[in-house]
Amino acid sequence: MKKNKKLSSRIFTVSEWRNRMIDHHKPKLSFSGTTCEDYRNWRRGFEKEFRKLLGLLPDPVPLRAEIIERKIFPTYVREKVVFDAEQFMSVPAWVCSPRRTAKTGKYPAVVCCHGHGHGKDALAGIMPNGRAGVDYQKKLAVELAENGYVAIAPDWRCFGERNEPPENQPHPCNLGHLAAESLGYNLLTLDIWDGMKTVDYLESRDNVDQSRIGCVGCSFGGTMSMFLSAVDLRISVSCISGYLMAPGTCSFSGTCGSQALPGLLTLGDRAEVAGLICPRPLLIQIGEYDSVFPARHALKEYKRLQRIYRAAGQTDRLALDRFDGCHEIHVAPIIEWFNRWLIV
Amino acid sequence: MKSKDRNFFHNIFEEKRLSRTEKSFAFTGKNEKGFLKWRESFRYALMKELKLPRKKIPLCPETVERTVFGDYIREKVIYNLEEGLSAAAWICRPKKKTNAKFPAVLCCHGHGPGKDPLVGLYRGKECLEYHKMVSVRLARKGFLTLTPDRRGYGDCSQFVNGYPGIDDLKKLDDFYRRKGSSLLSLDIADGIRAIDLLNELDMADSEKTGCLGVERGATVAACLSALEERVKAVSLTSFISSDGGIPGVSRQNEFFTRIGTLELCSLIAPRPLLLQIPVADTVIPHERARKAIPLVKNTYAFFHAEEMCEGFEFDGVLELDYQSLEGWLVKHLNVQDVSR
Repeated sequence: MKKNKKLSSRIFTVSEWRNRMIDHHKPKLSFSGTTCEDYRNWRRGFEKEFRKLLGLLPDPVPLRAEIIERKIFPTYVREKVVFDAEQFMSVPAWVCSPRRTAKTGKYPAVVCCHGHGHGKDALAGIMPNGRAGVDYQKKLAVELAENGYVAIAPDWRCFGERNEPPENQPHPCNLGHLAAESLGYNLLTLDIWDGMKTVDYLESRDNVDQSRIGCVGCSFGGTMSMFLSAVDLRISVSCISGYLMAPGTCSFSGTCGSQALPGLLTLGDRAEVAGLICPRPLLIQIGEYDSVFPARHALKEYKRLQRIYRAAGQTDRLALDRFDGCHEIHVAPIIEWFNRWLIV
Repeated sequence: MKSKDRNFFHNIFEEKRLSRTEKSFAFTGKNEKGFLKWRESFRYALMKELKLPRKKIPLCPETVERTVFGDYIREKVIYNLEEGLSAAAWICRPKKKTNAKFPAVLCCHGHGPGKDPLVGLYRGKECLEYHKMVSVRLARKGFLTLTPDRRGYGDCSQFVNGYPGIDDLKKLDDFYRRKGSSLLSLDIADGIRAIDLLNELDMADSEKTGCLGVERGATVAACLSALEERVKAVSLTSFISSDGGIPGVSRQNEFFTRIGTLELCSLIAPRPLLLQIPVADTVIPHERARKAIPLVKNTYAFFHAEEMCEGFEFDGVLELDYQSLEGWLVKHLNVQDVSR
């Protein structure tokens, strides 16, 4: 057999194939404009294609919400709630509220999206052994409640109380992705749907001001905060922490089946999805020493996102918190950000 | 006995057994005289357990790589630990020349691929992580830093990418145990050789030697600082705890189940000791760490030196806080700032 190519130049691994494909491929709808008109035209086109990529959405069902647990702490109240997202799926969530009653009777609310780990509990300051504790998500729902917000933290599919039994470990996200795909759905889309139902639930609560709803998350929580805010216009202010990466730089270890939207890279990347949040206020957090989403890659994507906000004439609505930390939430600037935009 | 009271799991059995084990080396006295007596006997027991001092051979250091950056110089140095075994380390120092020698800091890495991330590298590429490039940043500030690989890590590792997992380290520890030693014991002996190396370097001020460690690197830094009076200032990150084990120490090591981090800190007193406590550390809950600070200060009180021990809590995960560390070392090693 004739050798016409050196063996060393051939590619055998999927990761290397992916890298080469990305190098040789230009996304169809990357934002490259500079004017408001460029922005409007781009948005129209990208949003339409993006919605197609999300694919099938479940049929809506009544929430049938229940509060199944209520505990009063010195500085906040924590409730466990359950509501239906679709015919065969319910969502458990923690709701942390201020102890005092607001003058208006209503508080601004924030959807707190958990990242990898043990699900919603981390945002309520509960460790896997059931004891109080803090991880990289810094019990953000509690912090927000103590600062005057109703904070809700649902379990996403394959996490927390929705995690798979041991026989489906150690890759429940990937198995969940395959299970959803086999029925024509995308796991990320189903989680976005659950996020939208979470907002529905917030709107049904007496102590929530429907016009003041924010969204935040770190790592996979950043994925969820970005996609949910991009899709659900009821979210009026957002924060994406520890998630931005430049196109094509996300390694296998920095993603999973819960975070994949098939075909997204043919259109654009994270900057374009986050660009759909524009003109709503958006805070980006980047830890200088984040080894999962390195700052140098995240900053490149931030600059692309900045270009979108600049073209839209909304530069003051995009902010960057670059802090001396790792892969973690930086609490104080998030509270300041929500205070700036949600506290009347 | 009711069946519901039975336990079938070895790990729970071990945890309960250890929690019942009396910390037989804990100081329970009240007065200074008793404390000093206890301290001496504990130091002796620790030396005996670690089989120190060990026979020393010439270090024979060689510089095998040198890179000059804008404001600092990085060298890779190799040197002898014991007969037939060498170590590799990074030395970083300011580029700017001064007449005085540089205060030196031994940097002990935590989990990961060894020394490289402390100079911002992993597999030859840029790597920024929880050590926050401390060896480079301190060099820019005016220190000479020495950052060695411990056994099983980086250039001294047979494991994939020089990045050992917990099981790999356990295997290595088992190997040394069969030979009558332990991985921790040898790591501490190697740390003492690193201090020897710093003392041999012309540019390093042997009167101003500091030591820092993160997580299991903090255990090595604490033990060697406890035994080495040549170390004049210490910083330990994610280490101190009012109860529980010592980071990275095998539960098979009976001696170390009878002591805690407090006992090790009491051997460092009255030398300056910074204890960094990240509030979102999932390994050592910060309440336990916070509770330990007054207890450590109590031992410093016997030397009338409470101000030489400081607990510093910060909003972080398992990570080093650079600003407080730099301030502490500058203050206690009297560094001449070369960054301006």
